[in-house]
Amino acid sequence: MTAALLMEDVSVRYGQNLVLDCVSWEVWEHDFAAVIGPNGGGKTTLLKALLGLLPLSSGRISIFGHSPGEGRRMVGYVPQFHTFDFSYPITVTEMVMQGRLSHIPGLFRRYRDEDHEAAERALGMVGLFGVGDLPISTLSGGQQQRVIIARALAGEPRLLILDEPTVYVDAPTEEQFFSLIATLLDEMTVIIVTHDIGAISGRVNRIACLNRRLYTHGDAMITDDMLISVYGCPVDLIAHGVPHRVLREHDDV
Amino acid sequence: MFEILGYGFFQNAIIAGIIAAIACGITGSFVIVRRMVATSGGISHAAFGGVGLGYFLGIDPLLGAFLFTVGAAVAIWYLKTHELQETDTITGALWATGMATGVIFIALTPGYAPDLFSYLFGNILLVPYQDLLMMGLLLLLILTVVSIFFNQLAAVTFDEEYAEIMGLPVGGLTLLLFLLIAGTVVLLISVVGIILVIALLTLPAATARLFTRTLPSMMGAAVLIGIGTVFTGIILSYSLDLPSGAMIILVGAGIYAAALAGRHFSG
Repeated sequence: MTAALLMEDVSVRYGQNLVLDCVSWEVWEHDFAAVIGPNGGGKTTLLKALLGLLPLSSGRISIFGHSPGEGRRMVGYVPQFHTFDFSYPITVTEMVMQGRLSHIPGLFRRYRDEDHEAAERALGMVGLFGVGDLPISTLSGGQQQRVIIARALAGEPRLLILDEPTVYVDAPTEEQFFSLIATLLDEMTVIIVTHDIGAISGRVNRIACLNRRLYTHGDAMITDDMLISVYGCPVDLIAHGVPHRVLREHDDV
Repeated sequence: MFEILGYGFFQNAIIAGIIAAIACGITGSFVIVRRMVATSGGISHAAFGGVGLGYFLGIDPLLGAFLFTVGAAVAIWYLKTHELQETDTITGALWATGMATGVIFIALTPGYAPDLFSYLFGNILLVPYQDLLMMGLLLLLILTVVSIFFNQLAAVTFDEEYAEIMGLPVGGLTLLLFLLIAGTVVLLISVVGIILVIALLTLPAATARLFTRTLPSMMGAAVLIGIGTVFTGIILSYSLDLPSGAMIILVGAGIYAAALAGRHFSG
């Protein structure tokens, strides 16, 4: 097996503030992995470090054996949905083709035939057909999310990293999203960063909890110990065997 | 009223208007989609410092304005990218500092400052031939830069973080955007003046955005709307004997308001 991601004793500091403390983690090829943790726990910093946008204070990150800067061409990144300005005047195909920019040499960065083809393929992979010439503002929320994923896929990544993909997304869209990810896992490795424990539990095969330090177990089980270490108190989880129960039963009824 | 078409000053005004409309359609579209209206306001008002410097040193005030807008663009970019301050704060400071510097320079210049009102509020009917030449060259430069870097500028204005991940030189491209604004502002000063620049830079592009779906079509429509705006403004200014800069802006605002109302009431 090949390591898609290898983090060794990674620390990141902003001034006096230690944001990531000796984080070590391995994700293997074709894993579906999740990093969970509270807001302010360092998830965004971890993402930036993986994308090579941030200098490490110490430690080493390797993506398929390359530094994050070099490995970036193998990484597809799906940012948070709600940060997008979908009123921007751009068509679906044009937006997806921007995911090819790192592959295009030269000063002009003109899109080539192969970039158009890659964009079409990526749209097919996320199940969007016949919308390429529409402006992104006219799509539904679920379609818009798939366009963002298609943009990442257009770069033909071996590792797909998604930031909070299930936040601000309704339940049917979330279902569609996870069945889409399932179809991608044959071809690539997927890492999700989220605070939405309920959404990913039972679906991923590797979990790490991040709150400055990273807590991992060999398998995908979240244990009470991990949650207490990360969140500082036990968190009620929806039981795996009762997937449709969202709230606990009231004792007094 | 068609006899005015034969006058040299009127032909100059039309050429200046077309040059200005092309520049503000293209740069203005970037300003609207990237929400850089306030930044553009700061850069354009800083130009007044340069106009004052021009009077003080006895050089062309437009050349002084060019130096000051470029300086303001670089300063805003530097302070923004080095995260020293919010763009908003820097913009406000430069806006007022530029104006104040201009006032001081003009006070230090002995005698009366001719055409000062033209630099503040524009007078397209007084654009001299040598200014046309400078405007034409500046427009050529803007068109060249935008056509070379179009895909990259579009990527940066749409999603800056992703552009960085794609390995684009985001810092340099952001500076380029600010410099485009600086150059366009100088072009527009002769047409509508420092105070009104911001309106001509944004109104045609904002109108175009209401009914276009891609950045190139938005730019094309903004250029046409800009030309129509400037032309109508000049005609009205001449026939009503009212200031041209203000008439051009009121026409632009009228078209924008009509387009907004049209879209609103047509659902």
